[in-house]
Amino acid sequence: MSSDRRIFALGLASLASAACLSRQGAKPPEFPAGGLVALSKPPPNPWSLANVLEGVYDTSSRFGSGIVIHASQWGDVASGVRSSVAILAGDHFAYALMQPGCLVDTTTTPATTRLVLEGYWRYLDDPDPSPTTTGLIRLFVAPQAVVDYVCSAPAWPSDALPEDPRPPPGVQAALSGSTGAGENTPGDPLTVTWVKPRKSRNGLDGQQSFFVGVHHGGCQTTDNCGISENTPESAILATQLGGDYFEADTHLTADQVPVFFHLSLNPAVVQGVFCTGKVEDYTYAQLLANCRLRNGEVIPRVEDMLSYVLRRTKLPLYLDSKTSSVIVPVSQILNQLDQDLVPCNPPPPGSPTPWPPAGKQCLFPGSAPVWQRGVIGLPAAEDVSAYVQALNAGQLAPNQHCLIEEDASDVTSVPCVAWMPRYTRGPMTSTAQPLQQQGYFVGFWTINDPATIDAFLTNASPNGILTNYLGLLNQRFEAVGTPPPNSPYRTTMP
Amino acid sequence: MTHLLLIALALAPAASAEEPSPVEESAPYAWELDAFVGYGRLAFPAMDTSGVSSSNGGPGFALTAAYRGPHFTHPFVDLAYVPILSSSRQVNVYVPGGPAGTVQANNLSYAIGLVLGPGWDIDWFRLRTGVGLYDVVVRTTVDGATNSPSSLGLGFLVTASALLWRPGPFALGLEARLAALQVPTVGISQSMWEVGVTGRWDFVHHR
Repeated sequence: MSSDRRIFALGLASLASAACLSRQGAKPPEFPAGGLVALSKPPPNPWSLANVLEGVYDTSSRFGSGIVIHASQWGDVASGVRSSVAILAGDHFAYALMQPGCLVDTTTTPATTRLVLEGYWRYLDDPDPSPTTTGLIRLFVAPQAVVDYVCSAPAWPSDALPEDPRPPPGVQAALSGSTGAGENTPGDPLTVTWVKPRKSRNGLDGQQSFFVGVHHGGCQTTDNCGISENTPESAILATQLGGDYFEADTHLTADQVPVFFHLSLNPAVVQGVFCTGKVEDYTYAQLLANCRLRNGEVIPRVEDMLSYVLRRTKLPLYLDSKTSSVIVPVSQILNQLDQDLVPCNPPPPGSPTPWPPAGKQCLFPGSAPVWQRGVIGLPAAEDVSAYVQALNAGQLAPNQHCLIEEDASDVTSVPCVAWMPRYTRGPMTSTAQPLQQQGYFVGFWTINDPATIDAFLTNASPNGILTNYLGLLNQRFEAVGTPPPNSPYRTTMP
Repeated sequence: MTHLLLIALALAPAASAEEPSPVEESAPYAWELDAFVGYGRLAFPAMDTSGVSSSNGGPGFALTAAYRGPHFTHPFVDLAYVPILSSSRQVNVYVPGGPAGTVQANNLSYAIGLVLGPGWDIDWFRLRTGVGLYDVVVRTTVDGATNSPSSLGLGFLVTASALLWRPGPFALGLEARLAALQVPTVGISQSMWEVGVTGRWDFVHHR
């Protein structure tokens, strides 16, 4: 009897404690009042940082050795392209995301310009952020020649090529500063020391042949990075963390609106008392009225998110069809965007002034056109059948690209441009290599374990791996990876 | 010492007979059928009240079958209609390129639960806890379109009853119920309370 009472009391206590769980995703720590970056100016050319910071480094604390520093560019040409700097590490699946600022230090005589990087760090091996797994980070770049190269660069004209054409200074960058716990002011010293340049990811023809694949976004919703998966914001985060292509999931609402969402409307990823079941059960207006993603975002329409991502990043998108009925509507959206989004860096020869013309918008500088960047994923045999039927009926966009997940023979028979099976089927090199030699992309989904990533990088020589941990995959490629000899040229040709 | 022990052993059954357990006082060895009728609504999480013109809970019902044996604990199975929330609100459903403005959203949510578990009777007080399946149904009408999605999941039930009037094979009293829906990796995602009257009928009993 007393035993029954104890069990009952424990049950009540667990119910009460579980009821207090927060359903809103945690936000990353931020510097008060925007920190030093708020007092600084962004680097005049967003591509300067890549010339001087990209490389493999060792750190004195927090991130371990052989980490990658990645300088990214993102943003809309019309409103300004920005740069970010990330530390990508294998230890604890760690990353740090920092924004750069050129700060005039008036405490010295004469005043000097300093290049400061501020942001937050995070260990992703614990999905619940706490002061032991996340905190603030502030680093200063040295020597002064590197600072001057970045902060004294000529301003980047918005119709220029996406580059800083100046040769970098002949010295390596070093970073020093500190990290902190949670929202506390950084106080733990950190130095970041240059080791070597990053490996080439190009094949024998000089074109990129290895790509880091982004699984739903720079961070899974359940990893609590403050941004929900399958959102425009998660594509920006993916770019900042070294992603090369973005896998996102497409569904069709009850009123035939294609949207990005993964599986069911589960409280782990959505909030709302009247938000349950499946996306297909609701009209888009009902989804807007009743559902928010865990971090407050709306479930994005494919049309809106593609337009956002294609203009603000150079990521190709692998659009995984969660239902066959979404294939044709998504292809039609890609076709419309292919007409609406134009290259601006530089404008095409003989283009009228002003450019872009009315009704058109600029693609992200240096990115491929829409028809090359929007790849429809066909995960099951019925999706392949529906795609072929639509293709034969002339319902797909001209030059529509597709990706096969199951039967490799479908890649050449449909034809598609890529094969991306589940990694648990093994490397399957006897099937993969002939496809790669014919210029098809061969990748694997979704690998998050360091040992398995290493095994595939060393034994399978894939063109891409889809992962939740972009920092980890970037770091492991630098450690053990070799780019496959054949670049997947079919992904860039009709 | 031995004498004292013998006296104690001899008195023990008598003491037991003089102080019957609460289980024996109610209806030992009985099959019973219970009914609950009451009012209930969402307890957790707090509802977003922006734009809400009205919100309410609703009537709740439950039917329970249980077997009361000689053991302090009795098993039960409970089938319930659990109200969650109904509301009317004005919501902004703007999408890029579309017209600005708000539309009317009328929503209703309830759950059908089938729960198994143990219960305990202490004289007139009854406590039950259980675990089972809940099918959560949403009926949503936004901008004139109506849909009724649903999802099945794990849930827990706690009930507390005061059986104040117990004539013959029947009993009548007040009951409070708390149902909680569980989601893997999240924990308790939603909970609902109900209060109402409960009735008990011992349709088979062995004394």
